[in-house]
Amino acid sequence: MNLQSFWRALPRPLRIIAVRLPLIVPQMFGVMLVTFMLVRLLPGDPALLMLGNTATPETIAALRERLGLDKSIWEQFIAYVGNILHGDLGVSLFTSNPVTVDLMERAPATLELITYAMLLTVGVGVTLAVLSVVWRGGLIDAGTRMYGLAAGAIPDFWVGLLLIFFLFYIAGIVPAPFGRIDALVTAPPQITGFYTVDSLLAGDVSAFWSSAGRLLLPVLTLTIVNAGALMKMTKTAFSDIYRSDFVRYQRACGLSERTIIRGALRNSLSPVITLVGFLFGFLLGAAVLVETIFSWGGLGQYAVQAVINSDYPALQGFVLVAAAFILIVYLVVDILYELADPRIKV
Amino acid sequence: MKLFSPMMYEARSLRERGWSASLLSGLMLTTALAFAPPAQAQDAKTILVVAGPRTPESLDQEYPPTEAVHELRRNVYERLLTYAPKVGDDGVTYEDFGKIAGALAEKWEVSPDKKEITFFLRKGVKSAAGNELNADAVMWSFERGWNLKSNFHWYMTQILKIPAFEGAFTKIDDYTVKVSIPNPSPLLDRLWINSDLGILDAVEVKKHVTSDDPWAQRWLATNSASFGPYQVAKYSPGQEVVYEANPSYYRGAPKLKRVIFREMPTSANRVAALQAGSVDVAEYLLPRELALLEKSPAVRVHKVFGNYIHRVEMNNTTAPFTDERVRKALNHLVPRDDILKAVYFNTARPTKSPISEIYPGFTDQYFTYNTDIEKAKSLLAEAGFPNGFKTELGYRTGDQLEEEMAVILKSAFAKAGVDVTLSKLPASTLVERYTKGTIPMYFFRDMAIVPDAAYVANLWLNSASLINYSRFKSEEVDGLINGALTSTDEPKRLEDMKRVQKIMVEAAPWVFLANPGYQLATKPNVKGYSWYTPNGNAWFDFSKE
Repeated sequence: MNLQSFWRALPRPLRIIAVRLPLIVPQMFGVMLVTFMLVRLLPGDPALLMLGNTATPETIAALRERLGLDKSIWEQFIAYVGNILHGDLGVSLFTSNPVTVDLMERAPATLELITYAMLLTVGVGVTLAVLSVVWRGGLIDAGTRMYGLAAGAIPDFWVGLLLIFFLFYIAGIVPAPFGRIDALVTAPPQITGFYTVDSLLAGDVSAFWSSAGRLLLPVLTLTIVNAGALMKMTKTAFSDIYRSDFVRYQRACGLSERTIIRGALRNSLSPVITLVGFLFGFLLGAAVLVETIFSWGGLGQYAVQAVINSDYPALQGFVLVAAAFILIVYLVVDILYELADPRIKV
Repeated sequence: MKLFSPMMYEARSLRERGWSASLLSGLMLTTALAFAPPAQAQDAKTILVVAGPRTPESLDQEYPPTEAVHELRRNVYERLLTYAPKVGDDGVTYEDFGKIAGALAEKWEVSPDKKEITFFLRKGVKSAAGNELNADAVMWSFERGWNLKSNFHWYMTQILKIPAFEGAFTKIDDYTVKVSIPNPSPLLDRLWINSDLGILDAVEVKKHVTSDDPWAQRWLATNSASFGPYQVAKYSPGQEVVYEANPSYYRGAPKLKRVIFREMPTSANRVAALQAGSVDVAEYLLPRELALLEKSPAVRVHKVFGNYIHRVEMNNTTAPFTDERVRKALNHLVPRDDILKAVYFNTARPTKSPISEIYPGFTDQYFTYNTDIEKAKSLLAEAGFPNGFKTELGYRTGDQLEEEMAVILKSAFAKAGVDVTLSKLPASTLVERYTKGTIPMYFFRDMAIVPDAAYVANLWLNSASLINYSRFKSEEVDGLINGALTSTDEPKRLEDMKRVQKIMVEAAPWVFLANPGYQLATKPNVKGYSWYTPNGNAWFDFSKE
C-alpha cells in the first residue's frame, strides 16, 4: 500500500488533524515571540510597583536581578523559551505561585463557566431561532425580535449586577453569587478541574449543589448576553433554508414537519458552528467582567490583573494558554465544518 | 391551504411540548436550589468569613508590603515587641504609642547610649507547627532577612544604619539575642514592633530549604511558619486564604478558630454579601456604601481616623510647580468641604500636615489653606500665570474615589484658569511615571506604619528618600530629619519635627486633601474591633457572639 492510498484510507477528521496539528508549533512560537516583545513594550516597571515604600537603588537592583529584568531582551527571551520547554512558565509576581499552577487552577474555573454558558447559549439561541422561524409572526417571533435588538446592546456586567440584585438580594432565591463554591464547603479533589464534575466523581453531594448553584447566575448572565447574537445568526441562516425550494419540495412530498425542521437545521449549521467557535474562544478572556462580579477567580481576571501590575510571566502564560485554546477550538470548528457539510474542504 | 395544515398541527404540539418541557426543567431547577443543603451552622461562632478586595500577593515577609500583605502578617507573624493596647473613647482598641510591651521577647534592654538592644525571649512559646521559640529561630530570621535584601534589610540599613550582619546581630544564649548599631537611634526599640519584622519558625522553614533556594523563598511564598495566632491552612491567590488558629499561641488560643478570607474584587458585591449574611466582615468599602450600610440594623460600621494621607503630589522640579506660589494657589483652590461631603460622605477629615494626625508630634497649626479663589488667582498672577496654565493629573485605573476627586479638582482648578488633563493610568504605568518624574501631578495615598514623626518625614520629605516622588527639597528639612533620626533627645526631636511641618506646609509640595480613615463593616455580632498602624485587621482580637 503506497503512502497516498494509506492517506486516503484515513478518516477525514484524522486527516485534518494530521495536517493541522504540526502547524500549531510555529503558530505558538510566533505567539510567544510577539507577546514577549509586546509585554516588554508596555509602560510600567514591575520592580518599582512592587517595592513601594522600601525602594532604594539597592533593593530595586536586587529585585530586577531576581526577576531577570537586568539582562538584554534577547537573553531574557532565550531563557524564557528554554524554561517553557521544561514546562516552567515562571513565577507570577503578584500571586507568588508558579504561573503553571495558577493557570491550572484558573483555566478550569473559566472553562467550566464558559462551557456551561455555551451549552445553554446554543440551546436557547437555536431553539428560539427555530421557533421564531417556524411560527413566523407569532408571540415568540416578536419576543425574539425585541431580545435580538437588546442583546447586542446590553453589557454583561450590567446583566450580572441586575441578576444579583433581583434574584439574590431582593428575592433571595439563588445561592450567594460569590466564588465557585461556598466558603464552608471544601472544594472536591481536582480531577478535571470542573467542580461540578469533580464533586460528582468524588460523590460529594453538598459540593455539587454548592458549585452548581453558584454557576447559575454567571452562566445565566453570559447566556443572556451571548444567546442574542447566536439566535439572530441562526435565524437568518435557518429562515433562508426553511423557505428554500428543497424544503418546499420535502413538504409537498408529505415529510413530517419535524423531519423538515431537522433537515433545514442541519443545512444551516455552518454559520452557527463558526459563531459558536468564535464565541467560545472569545469568552475565555472576555468573560472578565462577569468573572470579577462573581469573584470567579478565572483566567480573564488573572489576565487583567497581570496587565495592570505588569506581571510579565503571568501575562505571557495567559496568552500562551489562550492561543493554544483558540487554535484547538478552531481546529475543532474546521472538523465540524467538514462533518456538517462534506462539500467544504478545509 | 391543505399543504400547511400538518405544519400547524405539528407546530402546536411542538409549542405545547416546548412550554411544558421548559416549565418542568425550570421547576426542577428552582426546587433543587431551594432544597440545596444550607451551610453548616454548628461552627458559626468560631468561623469568621471575611470579604476583601484582594488576597495577599505572597506569604513571605520579604515580599514588598501591600495592604493585603500587611493584614496577613499581622495575623501570621509574631514580632519581638508590641505596643500596649489602649481602648479609645469609641470602644475601639488602639495601640498606645507611648508604651512598648514585650511580645516574643518577654523583656528587653536598651543600652543608655541607645546603640544596643538585648532581647530576652519568652520561654515555652510554640509555633503553629509545634516548634519552640529560641535564639536560633530569631537569629535565622535575621539572617534570612538580611541576605534577601528586601524589607528586613531595608529597615536595618536605612533606619538603623547597620553596615554588616557580623557584629550587629549576636546570640548571647539560647534565649537572648543582642542587636548593636553604629549610631544611636531613637527607633531602636520601636522598630521591632513593625509587622514586617516577624520571627520565623526556623525549624519548620529549614525543612524546605534546597540547594538552589537557601532561604526557602519558594516555600515561604505560599506557606507560613511563625509564632503568631494563626497559620495559613490554604492559600489560593485570587480566591481565598484560610487561616487556622495556632492553639499554642503565647497569648492564648484565638477565639475564632478559622478565618476564611474571600477575594471579592467588586465592592458592591462585598456589600451585598454582608447584607445577605454570606460574610461576617467586609473590608475596604466605598464611603457611599458605608453611608448606606450605617442605616441598616443588620450591619455595624466601625470607623477610625488612622494614618492614611491622601493627597495630590506635584512634581516640584517641573515648571510651573517649581514656583511655591503656584503650589500654594492650587491648595487654595481645593474645595475641601465639597470633597469630604460628596466623595467621602464624611468618613474623612481634611489633612493638614505631612505627619499623620494620630502620631506624636503632629501639628496642624501652620495650615492656612482655606478655599479662596481670589487669593489663588493673585498668587498665580504673581508667579506669572495670570491666565493659568495647562497641566496633567494622573490617577489609578479602578480607583473610584480618585476619579471622583479628579473631576472635582479639574473644575475647581479651572476657576483660576488652570486647565487639567485627567489621565487614568494602570497602577504600574502611574508608578513608573511618577518615579521617573514624568507626570506633573498625581494622586498619592499612603501611610507610614512607624508612629514617629521623623520616620514619616524621612520617608516622604527627605530629599534623599527614593519615595519622595514630589522631589521636595529643603536643606533645612533634610538636616532636621537626619538629626532626629539619630538624636535621642525626645523633646528636641518633637520640636524639630514641628519646624519641619511648618516649612513643609508653607512650601506646599502637595495639594493637601484628606485623611480617609479606615472603616470596617461587620455583622452586629462581630466584636472586638481593633486598629493597628498597618491598617490590617488582627483576627485574634475578634470574636462572634
